[in-house]
Amino acid sequence: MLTMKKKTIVQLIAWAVALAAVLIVFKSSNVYIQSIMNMLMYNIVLVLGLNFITGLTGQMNLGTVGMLALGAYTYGILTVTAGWNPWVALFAMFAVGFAVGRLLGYPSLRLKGFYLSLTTIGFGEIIRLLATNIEPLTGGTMGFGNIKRLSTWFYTSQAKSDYFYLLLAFAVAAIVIANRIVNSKWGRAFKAVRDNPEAAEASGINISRLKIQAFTLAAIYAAFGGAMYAGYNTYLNPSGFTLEYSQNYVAMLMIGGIGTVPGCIIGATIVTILPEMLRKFADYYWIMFCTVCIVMAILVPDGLWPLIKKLFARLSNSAQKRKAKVA
Amino acid sequence: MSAILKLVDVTKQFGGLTAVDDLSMDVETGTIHSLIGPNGSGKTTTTNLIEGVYPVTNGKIYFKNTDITGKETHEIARYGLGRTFQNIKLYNTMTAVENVMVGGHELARLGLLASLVRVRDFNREERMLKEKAEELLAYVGLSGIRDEYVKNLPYGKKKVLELARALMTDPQLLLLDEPAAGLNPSERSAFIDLLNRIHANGKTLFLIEHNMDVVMNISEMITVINFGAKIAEGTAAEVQNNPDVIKAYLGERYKVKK
Repeated sequence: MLTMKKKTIVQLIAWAVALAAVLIVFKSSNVYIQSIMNMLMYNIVLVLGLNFITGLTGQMNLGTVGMLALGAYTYGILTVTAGWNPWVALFAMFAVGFAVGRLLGYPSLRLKGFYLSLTTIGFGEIIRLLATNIEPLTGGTMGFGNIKRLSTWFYTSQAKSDYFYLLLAFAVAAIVIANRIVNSKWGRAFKAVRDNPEAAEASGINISRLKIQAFTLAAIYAAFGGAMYAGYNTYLNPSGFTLEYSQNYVAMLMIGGIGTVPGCIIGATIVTILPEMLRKFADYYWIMFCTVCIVMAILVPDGLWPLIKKLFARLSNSAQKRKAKVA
Repeated sequence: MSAILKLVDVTKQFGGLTAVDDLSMDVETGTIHSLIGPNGSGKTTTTNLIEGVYPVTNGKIYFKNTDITGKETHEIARYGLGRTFQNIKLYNTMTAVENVMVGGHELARLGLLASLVRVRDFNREERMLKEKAEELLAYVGLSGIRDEYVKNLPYGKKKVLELARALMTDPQLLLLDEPAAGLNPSERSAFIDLLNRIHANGKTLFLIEHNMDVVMNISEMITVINFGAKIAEGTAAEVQNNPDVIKAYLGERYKVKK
Protein backbone atom coordinates (compact mmCIF):
# COMPACT_ATOMS: atom_id res chain seq x y z
CA MET A 1 0.00 0.00 0.00
CA LEU A 2 1.21 3.45 -0.87
CA THR A 3 1.15 5.92 1.96
CA MET A 4 -1.01 9.02 1.61
CA LYS A 5 1.94 11.33 1.06
CA LYS A 6 3.48 9.13 -1.62
CA LYS A 7 0.08 8.90 -3.28
CA THR A 8 -0.29 12.67 -3.52
CA ILE A 9 3.25 12.99 -4.90
CA VAL A 10 2.50 10.36 -7.54
CA GLN A 11 -0.70 12.19 -8.40
CA LEU A 12 1.08 15.54 -8.69
CA ILE A 13 3.70 14.03 -10.99
CA ALA A 14 0.95 12.47 -13.12
CA TRP A 15 -0.81 15.84 -13.44
CA ALA A 16 2.47 17.62 -14.27
CA VAL A 17 3.31 15.06 -16.97
CA ALA A 18 -0.18 15.41 -18.44
CA LEU A 19 0.15 19.20 -18.47
CA ALA A 20 3.56 19.05 -20.13
CA ALA A 21 2.21 16.60 -22.72
CA VAL A 22 -0.67 18.95 -23.52
CA LEU A 23 1.75 21.86 -24.02
CA ILE A 24 4.09 19.82 -26.22
CA VAL A 25 1.23 18.53 -28.36
CA PHE A 26 -0.12 22.06 -28.70
CA LYS A 27 3.24 23.53 -29.73
CA SER A 28 3.94 20.85 -32.29
CA SER A 29 0.54 20.67 -33.96
CA ASN A 30 -1.18 22.55 -36.75
CA VAL A 31 -3.88 25.19 -36.47
CA TYR A 32 -6.69 22.65 -36.89
CA ILE A 33 -5.59 20.51 -33.96
CA GLN A 34 -4.91 23.65 -31.93
CA SER A 35 -8.47 24.82 -32.42
CA ILE A 36 -9.78 21.43 -31.24
CA MET A 37 -7.59 21.73 -28.15
CA ASN A 38 -9.04 25.16 -27.47
CA MET A 39 -12.54 23.71 -27.67
CA LEU A 40 -11.46 20.94 -25.34
CA MET A 41 -10.46 23.48 -22.68
CA TYR A 42 -13.91 25.02 -22.34
CA ASN A 43 -15.58 21.64 -22.74
CA ILE A 44 -13.62 20.38 -19.73
CA VAL A 45 -14.82 23.31 -17.65
CA LEU A 46 -18.44 22.71 -18.69
CA VAL A 47 -18.44 19.00 -18.03
CA LEU A 48 -16.76 19.50 -14.64
CA GLY A 49 -19.65 21.82 -13.79
CA LEU A 50 -22.23 19.36 -15.02
CA ASN A 51 -20.55 16.70 -12.91
CA PHE A 52 -21.56 18.50 -9.70
CA ILE A 53 -25.24 18.35 -10.45
CA THR A 54 -25.69 15.34 -12.71
CA GLY A 55 -22.66 13.25 -11.84
CA LEU A 56 -22.55 13.68 -8.08
CA THR A 57 -26.00 14.87 -7.01
CA GLY A 58 -27.81 12.77 -9.61
CA GLN A 59 -30.12 15.48 -10.97
CA MET A 60 -30.28 15.10 -14.75
CA ASN A 61 -29.46 18.44 -16.33
CA LEU A 62 -29.99 18.75 -20.09
CA GLY A 63 -29.80 22.53 -20.02
CA THR A 64 -26.01 22.94 -19.92
CA VAL A 65 -26.10 24.74 -23.24
CA GLY A 66 -28.54 27.31 -21.82
CA MET A 67 -26.13 28.09 -18.99
CA LEU A 68 -23.28 28.22 -21.52
CA ALA A 69 -25.22 30.58 -23.79
CA LEU A 70 -26.15 32.87 -20.92
CA GLY A 71 -22.50 33.10 -19.89
CA ALA A 72 -21.30 33.63 -23.44
CA TYR A 73 -23.89 36.30 -24.33
CA THR A 74 -23.46 38.11 -21.02
CA TYR A 75 -19.71 38.23 -21.57
CA GLY A 76 -20.19 39.40 -25.16
CA ILE A 77 -22.73 42.09 -24.32
CA LEU A 78 -20.70 43.37 -21.37
CA THR A 79 -17.44 43.60 -23.31
CA VAL A 80 -18.80 44.90 -26.63
CA THR A 81 -22.08 46.75 -26.02
CA ALA A 82 -21.26 47.99 -22.53
CA GLY A 83 -17.54 48.23 -23.23
CA TRP A 84 -16.38 46.64 -19.99
CA ASN A 85 -12.90 45.36 -19.42
CA PRO A 86 -13.00 41.60 -20.23
CA TRP A 87 -11.54 40.73 -16.82
CA VAL A 88 -14.30 42.62 -15.05
CA ALA A 89 -16.85 40.96 -17.30
CA LEU A 90 -15.41 37.62 -16.25
CA PHE A 91 -16.38 38.33 -12.65
CA ALA A 92 -19.94 38.94 -13.78
CA MET A 93 -20.00 35.21 -14.53
CA PHE A 94 -20.33 34.57 -10.80
CA ALA A 95 -23.53 36.62 -10.79
CA VAL A 96 -24.87 34.80 -13.86
CA GLY A 97 -24.01 31.48 -12.25
CA PHE A 98 -25.72 32.40 -8.99
CA ALA A 99 -28.88 33.58 -10.73
CA VAL A 100 -29.15 30.50 -12.97
CA GLY A 101 -28.28 28.15 -10.13
CA ARG A 102 -31.16 29.52 -8.07
CA LEU A 103 -33.48 29.60 -11.08
CA LEU A 104 -32.91 25.93 -11.91
CA GLY A 105 -32.23 24.78 -8.38
CA TYR A 106 -35.68 25.62 -7.01
CA PRO A 107 -37.62 23.55 -9.55
CA SER A 108 -35.27 20.66 -8.83
CA LEU A 109 -36.55 20.57 -5.25
CA ARG A 110 -40.04 19.71 -6.47
CA LEU A 111 -39.32 17.86 -9.70
CA LYS A 112 -37.63 14.50 -10.02
CA GLY A 113 -36.23 12.41 -12.85
CA PHE A 114 -37.79 12.93 -16.25
CA TYR A 115 -39.72 15.99 -15.17
CA LEU A 116 -36.56 17.77 -14.12
CA SER A 117 -34.81 16.75 -17.35
CA LEU A 118 -37.68 18.24 -19.34
CA THR A 119 -37.54 21.43 -17.30
CA THR A 120 -33.83 21.82 -18.01
CA ILE A 121 -34.36 21.10 -21.73
CA GLY A 122 -37.03 23.81 -21.66
CA PHE A 123 -34.59 26.19 -19.98
CA GLY A 124 -31.97 25.61 -22.69
CA GLU A 125 -34.52 26.15 -25.46
CA ILE A 126 -35.88 29.31 -23.86
CA ILE A 127 -32.40 30.81 -23.69
CA ARG A 128 -31.74 29.88 -27.32
CA LEU A 129 -35.04 31.37 -28.49
CA LEU A 130 -34.42 34.53 -26.48
CA ALA A 131 -30.99 34.84 -28.08
CA THR A 132 -32.60 34.41 -31.50
CA ASN A 133 -35.38 36.91 -30.94
CA ILE A 134 -34.02 39.76 -28.81
CA GLU A 135 -32.21 41.08 -31.86
CA PRO A 136 -31.17 44.53 -30.60
CA LEU A 137 -29.27 42.90 -27.75
CA THR A 138 -27.98 39.64 -29.19
CA GLY A 139 -27.91 40.25 -32.92
CA GLY A 140 -30.44 37.46 -33.43
CA THR A 141 -29.71 34.93 -36.17
CA MET A 142 -27.14 37.28 -37.68
CA GLY A 143 -24.96 36.57 -34.67
CA PHE A 144 -23.00 38.66 -32.25
CA GLY A 145 -19.45 39.50 -33.28
CA ASN A 146 -16.23 41.32 -32.40
CA ILE A 147 -16.13 40.02 -28.86
CA LYS A 148 -13.02 41.08 -27.01
CA ARG A 149 -10.53 38.57 -25.70
CA LEU A 150 -8.95 38.72 -22.31
CA SER A 151 -5.49 40.21 -22.44
CA THR A 152 -2.62 39.44 -20.09
CA TRP A 153 0.95 40.47 -19.63
CA PHE A 154 2.26 37.76 -21.92
CA TYR A 155 -0.38 38.19 -24.51
CA THR A 156 -2.04 41.31 -25.80
CA SER A 157 -2.59 40.53 -29.46
CA GLN A 158 -5.86 39.12 -30.65
CA ALA A 159 -4.07 36.07 -32.01
CA LYS A 160 -5.98 32.87 -31.51
CA SER A 161 -3.02 30.59 -30.89
CA ASP A 162 -1.73 32.28 -27.73
CA TYR A 163 -5.19 32.38 -26.25
CA PHE A 164 -4.86 28.68 -25.60
CA TYR A 165 -2.53 29.23 -22.64
CA LEU A 166 -5.10 31.36 -20.91
CA LEU A 167 -7.84 28.79 -21.56
CA LEU A 168 -5.50 26.07 -20.31
CA ALA A 169 -4.87 28.04 -17.11
CA PHE A 170 -8.64 28.42 -16.59
CA ALA A 171 -9.19 24.71 -17.22
CA VAL A 172 -6.45 23.78 -14.75
CA ALA A 173 -7.95 26.09 -12.12
CA ALA A 174 -11.37 24.55 -12.76
CA ILE A 175 -9.87 21.06 -12.38
CA VAL A 176 -8.09 21.93 -9.13
CA ILE A 177 -11.23 23.43 -7.58
CA ALA A 178 -13.47 20.61 -8.79
CA ASN A 179 -11.01 18.03 -7.50
CA ARG A 180 -11.07 19.67 -4.11
CA ILE A 181 -14.85 19.77 -3.92
CA VAL A 182 -15.35 16.23 -5.22
CA ASN A 183 -12.89 14.69 -2.77
CA SER A 184 -14.18 16.45 0.32
CA LYS A 185 -17.22 16.46 2.55
CA TRP A 186 -19.07 18.36 -0.20
CA GLY A 187 -18.47 15.66 -2.78
CA ARG A 188 -19.52 13.02 -0.26
CA ALA A 189 -22.66 14.95 0.68
CA PHE A 190 -23.61 15.43 -2.99
CA LYS A 191 -23.21 11.69 -3.55
CA ALA A 192 -25.17 10.96 -0.37
CA VAL A 193 -28.09 12.98 -1.73
CA ARG A 194 -27.93 10.95 -4.94
CA ASP A 195 -27.58 7.55 -3.27
CA ASN A 196 -30.02 7.93 -0.42
CA PRO A 197 -31.67 11.27 0.33
CA GLU A 198 -33.58 10.05 3.42
CA ALA A 199 -30.38 8.88 5.07
CA ALA A 200 -28.61 12.13 4.18
CA GLU A 201 -31.39 14.10 5.86
CA ALA A 202 -31.14 11.93 8.96
CA SER A 203 -27.46 12.93 9.14
CA GLY A 204 -28.52 16.56 9.36
CA ILE A 205 -27.82 17.43 5.73
CA ASN A 206 -30.12 20.05 4.26
CA ILE A 207 -30.91 18.44 0.92
CA SER A 208 -32.67 21.43 -0.61
CA ARG A 209 -29.76 23.69 0.13
CA LEU A 210 -27.26 21.17 -1.17
CA LYS A 211 -29.11 20.69 -4.46
CA ILE A 212 -29.22 24.43 -5.02
CA GLN A 213 -25.52 24.65 -4.21
CA ALA A 214 -24.78 21.91 -6.74
CA PHE A 215 -26.86 23.68 -9.39
CA THR A 216 -25.12 26.97 -8.60
CA LEU A 217 -21.67 25.39 -8.92
CA ALA A 218 -22.71 23.86 -12.25
CA ALA A 219 -24.05 27.20 -13.46
CA ILE A 220 -20.94 29.15 -12.41
CA TYR A 221 -18.73 26.64 -14.18
CA ALA A 222 -20.95 26.78 -17.27
CA ALA A 223 -21.01 30.60 -17.27
CA PHE A 224 -17.21 30.66 -17.07
CA GLY A 225 -17.09 28.09 -19.85
CA GLY A 226 -19.38 30.43 -21.79
CA ALA A 227 -17.04 33.37 -21.29
CA MET A 228 -14.11 31.21 -22.44
CA TYR A 229 -16.17 30.13 -25.45
CA ALA A 230 -17.16 33.69 -26.34
CA GLY A 231 -13.61 34.97 -25.90
CA TYR A 232 -12.19 32.23 -28.05
CA ASN A 233 -14.72 32.28 -30.89
CA THR A 234 -15.29 36.08 -30.70
CA TYR A 235 -18.59 35.37 -32.43
CA LEU A 236 -21.85 33.93 -31.09
CA ASN A 237 -24.81 32.52 -32.95
CA PRO A 238 -27.94 30.91 -31.49
CA SER A 239 -27.44 27.90 -33.79
CA GLY A 240 -24.42 27.01 -31.69
CA PHE A 241 -26.58 26.48 -28.61
CA THR A 242 -28.92 23.66 -29.55
CA LEU A 243 -30.00 20.74 -27.39
CA GLU A 244 -27.54 18.33 -29.00
CA TYR A 245 -24.66 20.13 -27.30
CA SER A 246 -26.27 19.62 -23.90
CA GLN A 247 -26.55 15.94 -24.74
CA ASN A 248 -22.87 15.93 -25.67
CA TYR A 249 -21.93 17.08 -22.20
CA VAL A 250 -23.98 14.29 -20.63
CA ALA A 251 -22.27 11.86 -23.03
CA MET A 252 -18.88 13.17 -21.85
CA LEU A 253 -19.84 12.44 -18.25
CA MET A 254 -21.11 8.98 -19.09
CA ILE A 255 -18.16 7.95 -21.24
CA GLY A 256 -15.50 9.30 -18.90
CA GLY A 257 -16.92 8.13 -15.62
CA ILE A 258 -19.67 9.81 -13.66
CA GLY A 259 -18.71 11.64 -10.49
CA THR A 260 -14.94 11.71 -10.94
CA VAL A 261 -12.70 14.57 -12.10
CA PRO A 262 -10.32 12.46 -14.24
CA GLY A 263 -13.41 10.83 -15.74
CA CYS A 264 -14.72 14.24 -16.80
CA ILE A 265 -11.42 15.11 -18.46
CA ILE A 266 -11.27 11.78 -20.30
CA GLY A 267 -14.90 12.08 -21.39
CA ALA A 268 -14.48 15.66 -22.57
CA THR A 269 -11.38 14.69 -24.55
CA ILE A 270 -13.07 11.76 -26.27
CA VAL A 271 -16.31 13.52 -27.11
CA THR A 272 -14.45 16.60 -28.37
CA ILE A 273 -12.03 14.68 -30.58
CA LEU A 274 -14.22 11.81 -31.74
CA PRO A 275 -16.58 13.90 -33.92
CA GLU A 276 -13.57 15.45 -35.63
CA MET A 277 -12.18 12.02 -36.40
CA LEU A 278 -15.55 10.89 -37.70
CA ARG A 279 -15.95 13.95 -39.90
CA LYS A 280 -14.89 12.02 -43.01
CA PHE A 281 -18.04 9.93 -42.75
CA ALA A 282 -20.02 13.12 -43.43
CA ASP A 283 -23.72 12.28 -43.28
CA TYR A 284 -23.09 9.09 -41.34
CA TYR A 285 -21.13 10.87 -38.64
CA TRP A 286 -24.01 11.09 -36.13
CA ILE A 287 -24.83 7.41 -36.63
CA MET A 288 -21.24 6.46 -35.90
CA PHE A 289 -21.01 8.74 -32.89
CA CYS A 290 -24.26 7.53 -31.37
CA THR A 291 -23.28 3.91 -31.97
CA VAL A 292 -20.05 4.48 -30.08
CA CYS A 293 -22.02 6.05 -27.21
CA ILE A 294 -24.50 3.17 -27.05
CA VAL A 295 -21.76 0.53 -27.16
CA MET A 296 -19.91 2.34 -24.36
CA ALA A 297 -23.09 2.55 -22.28
CA ILE A 298 -23.57 -1.21 -22.59
CA LEU A 299 -19.97 -2.35 -22.20
CA VAL A 300 -18.65 0.18 -19.68
CA PRO A 301 -21.70 1.68 -17.94
CA ASP A 302 -19.51 3.21 -15.23
CA GLY A 303 -17.32 4.98 -17.77
CA LEU A 304 -13.68 4.63 -18.68
CA TRP A 305 -12.01 6.06 -15.57
CA PRO A 306 -13.07 3.30 -13.13
CA LEU A 307 -11.80 0.80 -15.73
CA ILE A 308 -8.43 2.55 -15.97
CA LYS A 309 -8.21 2.75 -12.20
CA LYS A 310 -8.84 -0.97 -11.88
CA LEU A 311 -6.15 -1.65 -14.46
CA PHE A 312 -3.65 0.50 -12.55
CA ALA A 313 -4.49 -1.24 -9.30
CA ARG A 314 -3.94 -4.64 -10.89
CA LEU A 315 -0.60 -3.53 -12.37
CA SER A 316 0.70 -2.11 -9.09
CA ASN A 317 -0.51 -5.21 -7.25
CA SER A 318 1.33 -7.57 -9.57
CA ALA A 319 4.42 -5.36 -9.36
CA GLN A 320 4.31 -5.58 -5.59
CA LYS A 321 3.93 -9.34 -5.75
CA ARG A 322 6.98 -9.57 -7.98
CA LYS A 323 8.90 -7.41 -5.55
CA ALA A 324 7.81 -9.66 -2.68
CA LYS A 325 9.01 -12.72 -4.57
CA VAL A 326 12.45 -11.20 -5.18
CA ALA A 327 12.81 -10.19 -1.54
CA MET B 1 -34.73 12.21 35.53
CA SER B 2 -36.15 14.12 32.68
CA ALA B 3 -37.63 12.99 29.42
CA ILE B 4 -35.31 13.47 26.44
CA LEU B 5 -38.15 12.74 24.04
CA LYS B 6 -41.74 13.52 24.84
CA LEU B 7 -44.81 12.79 22.71
CA VAL B 8 -47.98 14.58 23.75
CA ASP B 9 -51.30 13.43 22.27
CA VAL B 10 -49.76 12.74 18.88
CA THR B 11 -52.24 11.79 16.19
CA LYS B 12 -51.61 11.02 12.54
CA GLN B 13 -54.36 10.46 10.04
CA PHE B 14 -53.86 9.35 6.44
CA GLY B 15 -57.21 10.30 4.95
CA GLY B 16 -59.75 8.29 6.93
CA LEU B 17 -57.18 5.97 8.47
CA THR B 18 -55.84 6.84 11.89
CA ALA B 19 -52.31 5.43 11.94
CA VAL B 20 -51.32 6.94 15.28
CA ASP B 21 -54.08 7.66 17.72
CA ASP B 22 -53.58 10.13 20.57
CA LEU B 23 -50.23 8.66 21.55
CA SER B 24 -48.41 10.13 24.56
CA MET B 25 -45.16 8.77 25.86
CA ASP B 26 -41.91 9.84 27.53
CA VAL B 27 -38.48 8.48 26.76
CA GLU B 28 -36.39 9.12 29.88
CA THR B 29 -32.82 10.31 29.47
CA GLY B 30 -30.29 7.49 29.67
CA THR B 31 -32.67 4.58 29.27
CA ILE B 32 -33.22 1.91 26.68
CA HIS B 33 -36.84 2.32 25.70
CA SER B 34 -38.62 0.04 23.24
CA LEU B 35 -41.72 0.60 21.21
CA ILE B 36 -43.39 -2.64 20.21
CA GLY B 37 -46.62 -3.67 18.59
CA PRO B 38 -48.01 -6.06 15.98
CA ASN B 39 -47.57 -5.46 12.25
CA GLY B 40 -49.31 -2.32 11.08
CA SER B 41 -49.74 -0.96 14.60
CA GLY B 42 -48.12 2.37 13.70
CA LYS B 43 -44.57 1.92 14.97
CA THR B 44 -42.82 3.12 11.83
CA THR B 45 -45.31 5.94 11.39
CA THR B 46 -44.47 7.05 14.93
CA THR B 47 -40.74 7.14 14.08
CA ASN B 48 -41.47 9.07 10.92
CA LEU B 49 -43.48 11.59 12.93
CA ILE B 50 -40.67 12.02 15.44
CA GLU B 51 -38.18 12.44 12.58
CA GLY B 52 -40.37 14.99 10.84
CA VAL B 53 -40.83 12.89 7.71
CA TYR B 54 -44.60 13.38 7.93
CA PRO B 55 -46.34 16.30 9.61
CA VAL B 56 -48.46 15.34 12.63
CA THR B 57 -52.22 15.80 12.37
CA ASN B 58 -52.43 16.75 16.01
CA GLY B 59 -50.26 16.85 19.11
CA LYS B 60 -46.75 17.95 20.05
CA ILE B 61 -43.33 16.34 20.07
CA TYR B 62 -40.59 17.65 22.36
CA PHE B 63 -36.91 16.77 22.18
CA LYS B 64 -34.77 17.96 25.10
CA ASN B 65 -37.67 20.25 26.06
CA THR B 66 -37.62 21.91 22.63
CA ASP B 67 -40.72 21.72 20.50
CA ILE B 68 -39.69 19.89 17.31
CA THR B 69 -43.20 19.47 15.91
CA GLY B 70 -43.26 20.50 12.26
CA LYS B 71 -39.48 20.95 12.01
CA GLU B 72 -37.67 19.50 9.03
CA THR B 73 -35.86 16.17 9.25
CA HIS B 74 -32.37 17.64 8.92
CA GLU B 75 -33.09 20.23 11.63
CA ILE B 76 -34.32 17.54 14.01
CA ALA B 77 -31.20 15.50 13.28
CA ARG B 78 -29.05 18.51 14.20
CA TYR B 79 -30.71 18.74 17.62
CA GLY B 80 -29.03 15.43 18.44
CA LEU B 81 -31.40 12.75 17.25
CA GLY B 82 -29.67 10.01 15.26
CA ARG B 83 -31.44 7.18 13.53
CA THR B 84 -31.05 3.93 11.65
CA PHE B 85 -33.56 2.58 9.17
CA GLN B 86 -35.70 -0.53 9.02
CA ASN B 87 -34.45 -1.34 5.52
CA ILE B 88 -30.83 -0.30 5.44
CA LYS B 89 -30.18 3.06 3.82
CA LEU B 90 -26.49 3.43 3.06
CA TYR B 91 -24.61 5.17 0.25
CA ASN B 92 -23.77 2.29 -2.05
CA THR B 93 -21.23 4.05 -4.25
CA MET B 94 -19.04 5.00 -1.30
CA THR B 95 -16.67 3.08 0.95
CA ALA B 96 -17.50 2.18 4.55
CA VAL B 97 -15.38 4.96 6.02
CA GLU B 98 -16.84 7.54 3.61
CA ASN B 99 -20.34 6.47 4.62
CA VAL B 100 -19.55 7.16 8.24
CA MET B 101 -17.89 10.47 7.33
CA VAL B 102 -21.09 11.71 5.70
CA GLY B 103 -22.69 11.38 9.13
CA GLY B 104 -20.29 14.08 10.31
CA HIS B 105 -21.24 16.56 7.61
CA GLU B 106 -22.66 19.00 10.15
CA LEU B 107 -19.70 18.65 12.53
CA ALA B 108 -17.45 20.28 9.94
CA ARG B 109 -18.62 23.86 10.04
CA LEU B 110 -17.02 25.50 7.00
CA GLY B 111 -19.36 26.49 4.17
CA LEU B 112 -18.79 25.65 0.52
CA LEU B 113 -16.97 28.87 -0.36
CA ALA B 114 -15.03 28.97 2.90
CA SER B 115 -13.80 25.43 2.34
CA LEU B 116 -12.26 26.52 -0.97
CA VAL B 117 -10.64 29.64 0.45
CA ARG B 118 -9.54 28.56 3.93
CA VAL B 119 -7.50 25.61 2.75
CA ARG B 120 -5.71 24.84 5.98
CA ASP B 121 -8.80 24.98 8.21
CA PHE B 122 -10.65 22.82 5.75
CA ASN B 123 -7.89 20.22 5.64
CA ARG B 124 -7.97 20.11 9.43
CA GLU B 125 -11.72 19.52 9.38
CA GLU B 126 -11.39 16.77 6.81
CA ARG B 127 -8.73 15.09 8.93
CA MET B 128 -10.92 15.40 12.00
CA LEU B 129 -13.85 13.75 10.18
CA LYS B 130 -11.65 10.93 8.95
CA GLU B 131 -10.12 10.25 12.35
CA LYS B 132 -13.49 10.28 14.05
CA ALA B 133 -14.99 7.97 11.43
CA GLU B 134 -12.09 5.54 11.81
CA GLU B 135 -12.43 5.61 15.59
CA LEU B 136 -16.12 4.80 15.29
CA LEU B 137 -15.44 1.96 12.86
CA ALA B 138 -13.01 0.53 15.38
CA TYR B 139 -15.59 1.01 18.14
CA VAL B 140 -18.24 -1.01 16.31
CA GLY B 141 -15.66 -3.54 15.11
CA LEU B 142 -15.60 -2.75 11.41
CA SER B 143 -12.02 -1.49 11.01
CA GLY B 144 -11.25 -4.39 8.71
CA ILE B 145 -13.65 -3.22 6.01
CA ARG B 146 -13.00 0.51 6.13
CA ASP B 147 -12.10 0.84 2.44
CA GLU B 148 -14.63 -1.70 1.20
CA TYR B 149 -17.46 -0.44 -0.98
CA VAL B 150 -20.79 -0.73 0.79
CA LYS B 151 -22.50 -2.60 -2.03
CA ASN B 152 -20.05 -5.48 -1.47
CA LEU B 153 -20.78 -5.82 2.26
CA PRO B 154 -22.94 -8.55 3.81
CA TYR B 155 -26.25 -7.58 5.42
CA GLY B 156 -25.08 -7.90 9.02
CA LYS B 157 -22.10 -5.59 8.49
CA LYS B 158 -24.31 -3.04 6.76
CA LYS B 159 -26.58 -2.88 9.81
CA VAL B 160 -23.61 -2.19 12.08
CA LEU B 161 -22.20 0.35 9.62
CA GLU B 162 -25.49 2.24 9.63
CA LEU B 163 -25.25 2.41 13.40
CA ALA B 164 -21.71 3.82 13.14
CA ARG B 165 -22.93 6.49 10.75
CA ALA B 166 -25.72 7.43 13.16
CA LEU B 167 -23.17 7.71 15.99
CA MET B 168 -21.05 10.02 13.83
CA THR B 169 -23.67 12.77 14.20
CA ASP B 170 -22.97 12.81 17.98
CA PRO B 171 -26.59 12.06 18.90
CA GLN B 172 -27.92 12.05 22.44
CA LEU B 173 -30.84 9.88 21.41
CA LEU B 174 -30.53 7.03 18.94
CA LEU B 175 -33.71 5.95 17.26
CA LEU B 176 -33.29 2.42 15.93
CA ASP B 177 -35.97 1.09 13.61
CA GLU B 178 -35.91 -2.72 13.83
CA PRO B 179 -32.16 -3.04 14.41
CA ALA B 180 -32.25 -6.82 14.81
CA ALA B 181 -34.36 -7.58 11.75
CA GLY B 182 -32.66 -10.03 9.42
CA LEU B 183 -29.71 -10.77 11.69
CA ASN B 184 -28.83 -14.37 12.51
CA PRO B 185 -28.69 -15.38 16.22
CA SER B 186 -24.93 -14.85 16.61
CA GLU B 187 -25.02 -11.49 14.81
CA ARG B 188 -27.98 -10.55 16.96
CA SER B 189 -26.22 -11.23 20.24
CA ALA B 190 -23.17 -9.26 19.01
CA PHE B 191 -25.51 -6.44 18.08
CA ILE B 192 -27.12 -6.48 21.52
CA ASP B 193 -23.66 -6.30 23.09
CA LEU B 194 -22.89 -3.30 20.91
CA LEU B 195 -26.15 -1.59 21.88
CA ASN B 196 -25.38 -2.17 25.54
CA ARG B 197 -21.91 -0.68 25.06
CA ILE B 198 -23.36 2.39 23.35
CA HIS B 199 -25.87 2.74 26.16
CA ALA B 200 -23.13 2.42 28.76
CA ASN B 201 -21.35 5.30 27.03
CA GLY B 202 -24.26 7.58 27.82
CA LYS B 203 -26.59 7.43 24.87
CA THR B 204 -30.33 7.06 25.20
CA LEU B 205 -31.68 4.34 22.93
CA PHE B 206 -35.19 4.21 21.51
CA LEU B 207 -35.88 0.88 19.78
CA ILE B 208 -38.69 0.02 17.47
CA GLU B 209 -38.50 -3.73 17.49
CA HIS B 210 -40.26 -6.91 16.56
CA ASN B 211 -37.82 -9.36 18.00
CA MET B 212 -38.89 -10.23 21.56
CA ASP B 213 -35.51 -11.72 22.35
CA VAL B 214 -33.92 -8.29 21.90
CA VAL B 215 -36.72 -6.25 23.43
CA MET B 216 -37.17 -8.26 26.61
CA ASN B 217 -33.45 -8.59 27.24
CA ILE B 218 -32.26 -5.04 27.06
CA SER B 219 -35.21 -2.68 27.44
CA GLU B 220 -35.68 -0.82 30.69
CA MET B 221 -39.05 0.46 29.57
CA ILE B 222 -41.44 -0.87 26.96
CA THR B 223 -44.36 0.87 25.31
CA VAL B 224 -46.84 -1.33 23.46
CA ILE B 225 -49.10 0.11 20.80
CA ASN B 226 -51.86 -1.43 18.74
CA PHE B 227 -53.90 0.30 16.04
CA GLY B 228 -51.85 3.41 16.75
CA ALA B 229 -52.90 3.69 20.39
CA LYS B 230 -50.91 2.88 23.51
CA ILE B 231 -52.21 -0.26 25.22
CA ALA B 232 -49.52 -0.84 27.82
CA GLU B 233 -46.32 0.59 29.24
CA GLY B 234 -43.88 -0.70 31.83
CA THR B 235 -40.94 -3.01 32.39
CA ALA B 236 -40.52 -6.24 30.46
CA ALA B 237 -42.15 -8.31 33.18
CA GLU B 238 -45.10 -5.95 33.53
CA VAL B 239 -45.76 -5.83 29.82
CA GLN B 240 -45.46 -9.59 29.40
CA ASN B 241 -48.21 -10.18 31.91
CA ASN B 242 -50.55 -7.52 30.62
CA PRO B 243 -53.73 -9.18 29.25
CA ASP B 244 -54.21 -6.49 26.59
CA VAL B 245 -50.73 -7.10 25.23
CA ILE B 246 -51.25 -10.83 25.10
CA LYS B 247 -54.56 -10.29 23.36
CA ALA B 248 -53.01 -7.96 20.78
CA TYR B 249 -50.14 -10.30 20.03
CA LEU B 250 -51.85 -13.68 20.27
CA GLY B 251 -55.44 -12.89 19.41
CA GLU B 252 -58.77 -12.84 21.21
CA ARG B 253 -59.07 -16.63 21.46
CA TYR B 254 -56.04 -17.07 23.65
CA LYS B 255 -57.20 -16.46 27.20
CA VAL B 256 -54.72 -15.34 29.78
CA LYS B 257 -53.96 -18.13 32.20
CA LYS B 258 -54.76 -17.00 35.65
